[in-house]
Amino acid sequence: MLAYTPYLILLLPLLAAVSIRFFLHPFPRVSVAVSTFACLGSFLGSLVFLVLGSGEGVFAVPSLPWIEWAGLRANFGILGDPLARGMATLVSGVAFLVHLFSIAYLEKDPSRSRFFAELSLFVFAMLGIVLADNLVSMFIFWELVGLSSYLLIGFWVEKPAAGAAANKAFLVNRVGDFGFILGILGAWALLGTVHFADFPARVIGVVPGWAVTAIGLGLFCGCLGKSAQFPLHVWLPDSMEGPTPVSSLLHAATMVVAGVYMLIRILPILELSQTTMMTIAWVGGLMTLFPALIACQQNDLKRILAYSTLSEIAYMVMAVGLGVPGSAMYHLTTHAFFKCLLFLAAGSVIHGCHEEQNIWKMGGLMKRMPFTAFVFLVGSLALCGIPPISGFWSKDAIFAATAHYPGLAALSMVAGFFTSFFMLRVILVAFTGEPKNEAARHAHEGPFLMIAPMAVLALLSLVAGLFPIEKFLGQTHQGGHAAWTLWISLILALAGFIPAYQLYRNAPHDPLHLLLLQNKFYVDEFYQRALVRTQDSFAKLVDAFEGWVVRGFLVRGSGVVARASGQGLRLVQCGQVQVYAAVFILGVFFLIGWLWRGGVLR
Amino acid sequence: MAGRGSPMILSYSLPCLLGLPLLGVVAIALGAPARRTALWVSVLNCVPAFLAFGVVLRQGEILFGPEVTSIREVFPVQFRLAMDGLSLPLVLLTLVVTLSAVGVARAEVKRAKEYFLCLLLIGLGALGAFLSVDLFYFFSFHEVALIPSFLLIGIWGQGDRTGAAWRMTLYLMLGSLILLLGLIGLVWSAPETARTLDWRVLSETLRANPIRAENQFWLAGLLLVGFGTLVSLVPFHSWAPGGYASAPAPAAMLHAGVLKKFGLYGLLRLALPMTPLGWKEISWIIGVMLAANILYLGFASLAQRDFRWLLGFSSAMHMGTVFLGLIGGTVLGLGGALVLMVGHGFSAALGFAVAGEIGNRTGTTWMQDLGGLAQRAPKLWFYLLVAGMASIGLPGMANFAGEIMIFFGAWSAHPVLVGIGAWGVVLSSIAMLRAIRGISTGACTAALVTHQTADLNGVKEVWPFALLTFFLFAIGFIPNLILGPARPVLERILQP
Amino acid sequence: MSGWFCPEVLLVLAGVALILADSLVADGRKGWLPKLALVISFALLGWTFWGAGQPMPTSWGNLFVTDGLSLVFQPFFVLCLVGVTFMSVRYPMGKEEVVRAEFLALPFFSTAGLCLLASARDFLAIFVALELVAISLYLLAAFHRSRAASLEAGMKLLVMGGLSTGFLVMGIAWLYAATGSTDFSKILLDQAGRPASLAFLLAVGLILTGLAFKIAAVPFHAWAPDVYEGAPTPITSFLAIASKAAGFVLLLRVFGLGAFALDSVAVVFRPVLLTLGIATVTLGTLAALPQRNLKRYLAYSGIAHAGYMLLAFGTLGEAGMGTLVGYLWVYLLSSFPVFIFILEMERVHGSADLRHLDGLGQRDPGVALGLALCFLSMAGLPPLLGFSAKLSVFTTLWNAGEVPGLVVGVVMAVVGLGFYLMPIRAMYWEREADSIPAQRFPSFLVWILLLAGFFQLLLGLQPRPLVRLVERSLAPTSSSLFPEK
Repeated sequence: MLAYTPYLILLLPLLAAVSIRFFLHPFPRVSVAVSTFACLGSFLGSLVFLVLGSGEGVFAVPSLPWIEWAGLRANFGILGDPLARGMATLVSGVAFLVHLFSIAYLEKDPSRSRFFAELSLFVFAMLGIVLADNLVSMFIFWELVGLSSYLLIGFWVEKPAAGAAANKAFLVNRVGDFGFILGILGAWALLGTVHFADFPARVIGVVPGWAVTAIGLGLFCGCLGKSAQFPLHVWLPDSMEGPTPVSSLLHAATMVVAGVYMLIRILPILELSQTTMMTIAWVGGLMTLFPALIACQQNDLKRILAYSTLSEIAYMVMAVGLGVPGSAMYHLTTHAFFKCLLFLAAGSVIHGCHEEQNIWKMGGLMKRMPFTAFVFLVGSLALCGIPPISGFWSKDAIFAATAHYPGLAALSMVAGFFTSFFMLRVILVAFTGEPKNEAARHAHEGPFLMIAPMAVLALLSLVAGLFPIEKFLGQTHQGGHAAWTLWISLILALAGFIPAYQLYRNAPHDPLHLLLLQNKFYVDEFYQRALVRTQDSFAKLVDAFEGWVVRGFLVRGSGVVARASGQGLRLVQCGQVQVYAAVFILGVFFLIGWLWRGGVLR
Repeated sequence: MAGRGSPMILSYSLPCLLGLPLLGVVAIALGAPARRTALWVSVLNCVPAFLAFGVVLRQGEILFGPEVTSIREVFPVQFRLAMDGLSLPLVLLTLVVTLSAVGVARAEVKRAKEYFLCLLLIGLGALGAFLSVDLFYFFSFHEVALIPSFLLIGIWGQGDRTGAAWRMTLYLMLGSLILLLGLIGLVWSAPETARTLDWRVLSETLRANPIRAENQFWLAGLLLVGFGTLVSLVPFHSWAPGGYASAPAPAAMLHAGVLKKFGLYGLLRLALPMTPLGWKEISWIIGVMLAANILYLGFASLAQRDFRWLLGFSSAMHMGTVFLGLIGGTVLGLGGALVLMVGHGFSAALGFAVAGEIGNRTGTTWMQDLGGLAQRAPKLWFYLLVAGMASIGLPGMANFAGEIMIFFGAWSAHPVLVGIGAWGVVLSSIAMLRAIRGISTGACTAALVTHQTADLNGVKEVWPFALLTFFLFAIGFIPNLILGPARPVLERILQP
Repeated sequence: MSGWFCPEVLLVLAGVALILADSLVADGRKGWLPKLALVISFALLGWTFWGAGQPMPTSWGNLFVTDGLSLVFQPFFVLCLVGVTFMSVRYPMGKEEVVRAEFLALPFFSTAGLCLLASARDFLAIFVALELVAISLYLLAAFHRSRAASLEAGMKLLVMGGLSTGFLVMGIAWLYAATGSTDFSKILLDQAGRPASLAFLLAVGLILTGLAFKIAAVPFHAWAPDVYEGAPTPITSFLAIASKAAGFVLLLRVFGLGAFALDSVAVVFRPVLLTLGIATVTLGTLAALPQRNLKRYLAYSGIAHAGYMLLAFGTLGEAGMGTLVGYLWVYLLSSFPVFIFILEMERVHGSADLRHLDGLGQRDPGVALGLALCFLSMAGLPPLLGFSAKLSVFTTLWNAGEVPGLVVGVVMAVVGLGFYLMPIRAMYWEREADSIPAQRFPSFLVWILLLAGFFQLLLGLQPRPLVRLVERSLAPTSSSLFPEK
């Protein structure tokens, strides 16, 4: 029985969510408390879990039966390896901080008990992904995470944009999962198991071929959706319609990196095919630069951060593609800290400026919200990879891996350049200069519950780089250092500040007008026109066919024919006995003719 | 004779299962308070049901009804009941859906007497069909439900109720007659001496001396068309969406939730074990049809603007996935098909119940006229979410368990079809999410604002929804509830 | 010696007795005549069921035989007689309210003829019996002199009947020419084992037309709807059930068991009969759709039923004959109650228009329920009685491998459900009760219809008695007819 205790980590948030939904929702304070303490509980639990099973050892936990029949073993199990343990601690910890932040952030919202229920549901699902020991149950939690994301983005039900964004997020993820599930099926058919633990043994002796590549790419589709990589990245920026804590926890720190985590889990399969690995690497490489460019011309604080998230995740994806999962996890961790920090800071700014998100309507916040400004600065430096702050170390590890791939190196480093550019742009426009409207003029710091989490995260972002985190995660730091990558990336990152400083110091409005970037390379428009419209018109076509041809013509038509023929037959019944006699005689003739034939035949 | 070990008395639980509803019908006809009687009958019926479940689950065996004087010598009809692991879940489904359908039905409906009478009759027909061992009663009980649904749609329906009722009834009659031919063929292809209407004996006989291959082809075809019409398999589907859209909510619940499953049950019971070769031979045709079910109906459902029509299309569409499990040729696929049958039964019923409530409150189910449900009626919105998420195969609910098993089971045989099935999940999510968004967000419907009880009003209105939801989750989390007892039966089906 | 107490004789005697009584009693005090007729008919029914039980190989110089078939159908016809007498008592004969004795007596003669037909084994006997039936029916159909429709019906029946009889006689003549005899067994012995001559086949064909007229098979059906609609309702029911049944019994006798039970005939006439059956089912079902008058409606449904029976019988096998016998009884049980209802409807509403059914489901639930069960049974909806009949038709066709017959049968069964649902729709969907003047039906009608509906259900679930009848009708025949073999 004791062996099952690790499931508490998983079940506490679930219990919180269920109890709030069904019993506690009339009492917001209670709900908030329950949800927060549940999260704290699973944080402590996973901390214990982490410490107990420290080192390389795999923590054996008996699995709960789900489907186990006819060759498919898909139970709920907890994979207690260091990676899972570390990730679980990270997720629940960050989640706890965000819970604290949300308490203050949403204290006026009437339906906040629903918010916390959904937040707990998310924590449950996310921990599920992290701890899952096989692909099927990972897929299950994968979907549940999608659901909670859907619910949280659409939390403000009265906001139409929120509903649209929520749908978009869910659907785009569904498209990714389409590939994911096929990949899972393929992997099962290929290896005869869905358990991560069995993969390394089973892949031995598998002959690489197009099938293996296809499976790998299929699984990668899941990552494309969840981690918002091209071409499925469009949902993430829109998801900023949700409350800021949500953006911070789901769409920056934890959920969106689930894709990367999943890739690392299935690495043995991916590594079977070089094509797959290279595809992943190049998708990552391109995605480092692409959103970084877009971010340079966005004006919504949260969207800018969202695009930077895209680009940061791309670094991790690239690292996985290059076969250095350790560095990927390393960057994942540091990124979790500083990006969560950045979003919370953004949240506190928005909270301070009365729901204002446009950076061009802020300004001068440095004086009014010094603490927020400070932590935002810390986060930005970490994001730009400026030593000695955590971001630098983790990024450097990834750059090092690109040493043998000049193309990827170029892409990612240029991306670093632009990252510095747009982060400094944000800082200059939003925090320095003169307040550009009333809201900004009366901006103020949030209450303690908003300050504290940011402080903790800022601390972590500062020092996280000094610890060999990948050790904790049971990964070894692959790929030696190549000095040139370090220097060039650093120089480019610093160089990014110069043009930004030139352009945006005390700039009243944006001196640059790059439509292509402002419109995000028109990807959304393309999807709207090319995919959605065609699909809908095709659907209308099909429906018309169903309505007119099948239901109308065939079905109703047959009825009409029957009735009409009935009417026609009535014509014979004219009441004239002569006619009846004639029919009778005709019948006789017909019969005799038949007999004649029959007679002659013999 | 009752099954080995289980006391004789328990074998009477099966006739009780049919007798109680019959009693209710008579009582209502004689003027007992309609809704209360129907409700009590449906509740009480759970007692014999759980006794029977107990036997089947405990001993994993068939529970037979009491022996009835056989009149084999002249006309081998024989009233025999039995419940095994395959019929158990469907009986459960029938009981629960009937109960919640009666619960959703309003007592103050016009001509309540006939209304609840028809509801009980439909439930009774389904129960009888799932419990009968004799093909004559197997067929007859299903037909019993035909006329009540004709009346329900015709008298209490909405929209194009007349057309829908005629279309549905005649279409189903055609299907059943084609099915009847198939059954005749099955019975008469058994050797002279061993000719029987008892499907258990018959399947063993035909196992021992199989039907000639080309005959199997035709028989399987007849059974497919017959049962397929009842399951609304494309191209024999066009009765379904309209029929469900214009039926009153409880009737739609019973029809889409329960009666539809009769066709699949029949295929599992008869077509697969008795004409295995034929089934294999036509499986590519079925493949084409089910692909059409998923893609054609999926796209058609995208274009629906009335929520009831959308539900009708999507519930017809998901049958395609079940068929995928049936042609997968693996026990896994069959198990998935069974789970999905049951899950879809609950989710479809829930969906139509929600649609009915929305219709009651706002007077419309046109999605562009609706909105703001989430603000004004959070409870109803929650159940709308549950129904929607279940039908798009969200994990945690029964439909997902079924779909995933089907996908795994059919992957080796029909990877492409599995791909189509997976894409169908995407299609149905597009349609369903749009619907949910349209109904629950945005500006509030005027009717919702004015309506004094916009939301479900207390326990007495919530419980039917909660009941269905509970079973959706229970089976989703513990599919073995169904799979455990069904396993031996399903394995036997595939044994040569 | 018991030959003198056979139902035929008793029926004739009863008829004569009724007329005598009528002429003897003064006009004022004839109220008891109808009741007397009713009592007599009931007594005869009892006698045919339990009394006249023993088969006799031959009687009256080989003209007749009392075998299983006749023993099964004598009660059938007498049952019809009971129903007709009962209805005649209640039939509203316009001004002269008191029922004329002829109206009561003629059915007795007609029934006597029917019973004779059922046991005839010689074409001369057939002809005589047929005329006995037909002539009394001509009179009865035209009996309601104050109604033009009735007269017209009688005239049509007379003309068409005469036509068909002509062909029948011609057929018999040809037959005599071809075989030198009119005795079944002689013909059989004469034709056995040799190829049928064209003359012989022609004779069979002409006789077939005569029978096809009686069962109102397409294209010899045209008279039925008009006559049914025009004739007094009791007579309509008699025409629709008893005389149709007689036609089928003759078919059974001649083609199934008697003279023409030859391979040489079967080869030629199997397709003919099946084609007739297909045509009859199709026309009967389709033409019924637009009908709004219940009597015409039943006329067409009767035609459709005849088609199904022809389809089953057309396979010319043991199974087909059994199906036919069973189906006739089913037809009797499911349609006679409806005729009784129609009579009452005419009494209450003055016409048999379908719209008088509107809202019956609420006005008179019992009547509506019974009626609905009868209609659904005719539609062949399980588990009602009609389903067993349809089932055995389909089974017969399936085993005979008659695919076209099967397909048409199935499709038309669906369309048929469509038109049997029309009265049900009228009774339950249409205008709510309050919008309709509430006329009550006599209470006995409720019980009759409920009983009938109950029978549909009971016998549908447990068709054992019918199966027994079928077996009795066919079992001893072959041996008793052909002592030589």
